[in-house]
Amino acid sequence: MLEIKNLKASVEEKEILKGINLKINAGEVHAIMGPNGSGKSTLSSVLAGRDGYEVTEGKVDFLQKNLLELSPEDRAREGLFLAFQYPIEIPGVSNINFLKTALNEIRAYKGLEPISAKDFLALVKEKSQLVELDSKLANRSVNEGFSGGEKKRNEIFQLAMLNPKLAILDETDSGLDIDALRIVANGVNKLRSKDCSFIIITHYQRLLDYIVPDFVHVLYNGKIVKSGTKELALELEEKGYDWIKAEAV
Amino acid sequence: MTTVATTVKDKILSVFKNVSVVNNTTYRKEALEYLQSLEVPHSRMENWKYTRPAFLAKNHYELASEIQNIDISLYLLDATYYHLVFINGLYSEKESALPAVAKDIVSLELKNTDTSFNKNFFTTLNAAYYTAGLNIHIPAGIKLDKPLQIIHLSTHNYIANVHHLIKVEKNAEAEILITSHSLSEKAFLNIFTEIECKENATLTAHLLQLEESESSQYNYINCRQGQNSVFTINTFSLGKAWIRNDLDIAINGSHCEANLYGAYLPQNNQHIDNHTLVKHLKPHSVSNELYKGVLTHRSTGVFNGKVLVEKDAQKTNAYQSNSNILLSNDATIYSKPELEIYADDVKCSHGSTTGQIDEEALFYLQSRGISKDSAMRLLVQAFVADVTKSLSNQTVKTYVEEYVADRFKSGYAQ
Repeated sequence: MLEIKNLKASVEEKEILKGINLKINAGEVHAIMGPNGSGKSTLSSVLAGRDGYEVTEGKVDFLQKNLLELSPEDRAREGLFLAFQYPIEIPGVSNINFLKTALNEIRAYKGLEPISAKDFLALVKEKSQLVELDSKLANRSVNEGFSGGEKKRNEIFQLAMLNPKLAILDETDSGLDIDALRIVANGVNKLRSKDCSFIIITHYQRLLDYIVPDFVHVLYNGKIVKSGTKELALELEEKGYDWIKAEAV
Repeated sequence: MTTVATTVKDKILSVFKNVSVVNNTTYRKEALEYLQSLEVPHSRMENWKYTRPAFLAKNHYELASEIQNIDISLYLLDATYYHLVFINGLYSEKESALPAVAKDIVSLELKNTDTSFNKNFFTTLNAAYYTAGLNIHIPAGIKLDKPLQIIHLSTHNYIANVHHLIKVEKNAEAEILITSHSLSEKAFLNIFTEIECKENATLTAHLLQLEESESSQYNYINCRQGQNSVFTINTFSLGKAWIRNDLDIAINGSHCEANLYGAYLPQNNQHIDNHTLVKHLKPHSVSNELYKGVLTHRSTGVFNGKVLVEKDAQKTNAYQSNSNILLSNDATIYSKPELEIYADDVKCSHGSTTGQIDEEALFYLQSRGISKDSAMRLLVQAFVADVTKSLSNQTVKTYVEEYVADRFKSGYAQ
């Protein structure tokens, strides 16, 4: 469903991604690990279509479409979801209004009628339970005054509401305590299905104890230097990244 | 320069050369006399640095001689409200709606006595030549049962000078909407409103400037507040007119509350100027001021808010904030918050921010499948909602919020 071929991207003329190759099939969970500055967040930003990144080479096919040619909103409408490392606070825009607008614009893109108020509320209720998100938070402004854990849970709540085909979790575990981590991971595990793939970007193996990946990739210096199964993550946890760096040179 | 200024003034005054002042009261006479010494405001005057009304002299103005027949139902915010209609500066009894009880409250006879107003060219011109106005008097202990809308409609190239007096007596309460509309870009509306809130009085005024064409408006409001009174004024400039608003509030009693909220959304080459002055003269009062601007195209906004706390006004709490979003590289805002404090035990704050739409927030919304246009609209709506959330009148609130939603329904022009 997603195929990244020799993807190179720069930020302000500095090359960050130096030829990424990655293939993800429907229903698979891929973890991408790597030391600071290896290009993990750049990869997620480029896939989601954030401004300020220049793709200099390569291509990305997403469900038989050229992903890089789509606007950020069309990528989302095609089924891509990015859970932000630092979710944005948007004062004055309620979570509910925000999600309803998002859901209906995605539906309109697919030629579907807007969701009824009743169905929407039922969906909110069902999905907020998934991440144990207080329904009061749903009525508040997007992420405004949310704790770090609430923000991350809200990301997974949005993921559940929008029901994407591919979800990228960008360091969703950063800043989470053990309880919040478990809640977020439980939510994600409930959303795992043959129709939804995941890319989990993380520094630490810890998250992967809860969300067990099918594949683990190590990103270093803008390239995937090693791929393996979940055991690779354990090895990294044990040995650190230095041996990878040594191997990559 | 003097000759230029004189020419501008002569040009404007020439409109009135054939006016035979029948009701030649002392008030008018004084104003007429004083007018001789005044200049049309120009940019060398500190208060008019960014707003230049000299262009008015380029228009050929006349004075309306008869009341036009116009269906004003379009301009009613709520058909159940009382409404009083001024067309081109003349009162239209036919279009106005006042039930029996209100007839004791509203009269068309103005008894101006107070000449202590801020005497600039426009207020003085108004005092000398106003053609109509309301004398609203809410008796002690009375609560006006419904809001009252004062409609000002301009249809042609007329100068309309309208002068209102609003007096809310002890323990009385009222809500007034002052709206302006225009069908002609050559019209100039000059409104002068004197307000007095006596002890324990509550007055809420909504100024809705909804000019459909690019006409001009000068609007001056002064308010004197007595002890324990609450005065709220919400100014929404949503039309296309060139506008200068002067609000002049004197908190003349203790334990008062003055609330000033405003939003302005100039477009194209529009110019909107809000000058406010809040004078705290007595202790233990609170003033809250929040103005927000969203500027598109090549428009210009001016915000100048001054809070003055006199020596006797100890324990004053005064808050003032102005923030602006510029949606175009060609839009301009001049924001000047001013605090002048002579008392030593007060809590005052002021601030001003100007920025663009938050790109991070925009991307966040887009990444959830929301189009850039919708995302922009949501963010602008949220920005303005900060002002409208304080409105207790749902009709006004909905009107403003729907205006914003509609104006930005396809993103923004520039």
